[in-house]
Amino acid sequence: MMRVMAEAMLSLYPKAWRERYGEEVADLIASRPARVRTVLDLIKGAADAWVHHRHVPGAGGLTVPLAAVLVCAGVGLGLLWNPGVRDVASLQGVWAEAASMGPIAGKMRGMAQTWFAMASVIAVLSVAPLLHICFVAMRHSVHGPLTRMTARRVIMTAALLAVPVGLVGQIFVSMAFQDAGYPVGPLGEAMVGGFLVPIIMAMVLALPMTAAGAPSLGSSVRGTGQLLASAVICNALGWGVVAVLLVMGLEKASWSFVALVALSALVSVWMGALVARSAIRRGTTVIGLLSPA
Amino acid sequence: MARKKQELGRFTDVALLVLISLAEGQKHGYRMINDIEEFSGTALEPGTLYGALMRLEERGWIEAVESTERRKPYRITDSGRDALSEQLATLRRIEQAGARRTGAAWGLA
Repeated sequence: MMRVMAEAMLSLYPKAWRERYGEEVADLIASRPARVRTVLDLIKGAADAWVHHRHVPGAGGLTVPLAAVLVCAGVGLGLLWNPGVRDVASLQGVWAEAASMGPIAGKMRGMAQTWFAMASVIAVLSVAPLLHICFVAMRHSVHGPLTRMTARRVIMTAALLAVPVGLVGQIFVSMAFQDAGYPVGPLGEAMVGGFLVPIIMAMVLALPMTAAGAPSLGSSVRGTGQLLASAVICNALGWGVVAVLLVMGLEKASWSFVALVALSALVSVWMGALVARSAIRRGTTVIGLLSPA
Repeated sequence: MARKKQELGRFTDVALLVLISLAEGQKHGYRMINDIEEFSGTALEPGTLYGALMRLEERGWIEAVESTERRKPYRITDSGRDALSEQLATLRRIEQAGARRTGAAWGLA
């Protein structure tokens, strides 16, 4: 049990370190008694290897794993929403000021909600062609074992992600359209989608990244990325409408509220763009593997 | 030199043990751990050992030996021997000063 745990700890080390020393340390773990102390020592060693990454012979620049960046950005968005932007007084005040200009405010609120809803629907549907191809690949023996195994992994990942993605989608619908959650008013309902769309996109990204394990699925991976880019555009348009609403009620907005909304929009669009770009680039790289050298 | 020693951080003692172990000939990680435990009583774990090996290799004080075996041996380099000699000389001075002072204080001198 301890030996398995110790071996698992090697995955905590930076890639350059694992490539240089991983096999030797794995051999050492296998040939000596593994104790709790061994596991703790490896955890400490992994932290040290990350901190002193430049000491690893042959290490290039430090690359932070994409998953870690997306998790941090997602947590950041969550904090920007609550307690950041979820300032009820500012939300209500800005909305009241914007609404005093006529029914245009209500229409713009609907537009923002629609753009964000479209972005989330496109994000979820972006993996539909990939899933279809994976289903087909699993059932036909004309595809190689790598493609069939990768396709099976993609389908299993999709099954695992269905619940969390559905949950975030449900939160979005409840808060934006069903008056659930905090009393954020119409302005809060208009912008809440912008906080949730990138999180849905980040979860969905697990599928094309898994599919990238098989070069034959490369074009589907890139296609998913291109569809995710459309979701990014819808998300940005939603934030654009929110910005107009904010300008309409600017008199009632504190500078900190405006700054937080602007920061939220930037993080949201950047995170979505990072997801789409990652899928497109991975797909392109994988397709390149099939081309003759 | 002082800067390099400082950068070894918590691995300074371990690095010294590794250099002493390799001073008698090339060894792979498994043999190094056993050897160090034998001559110093310090039982090293893999994470600590390879943290020290990483630093020593980066400084050019040890180097990996080309081998077809799964276990890669390491050997001390000339600059590693110089560093080890310097470190041992420092330890000797400390030991002599310590012996002199404790001897005087305890009435043994």
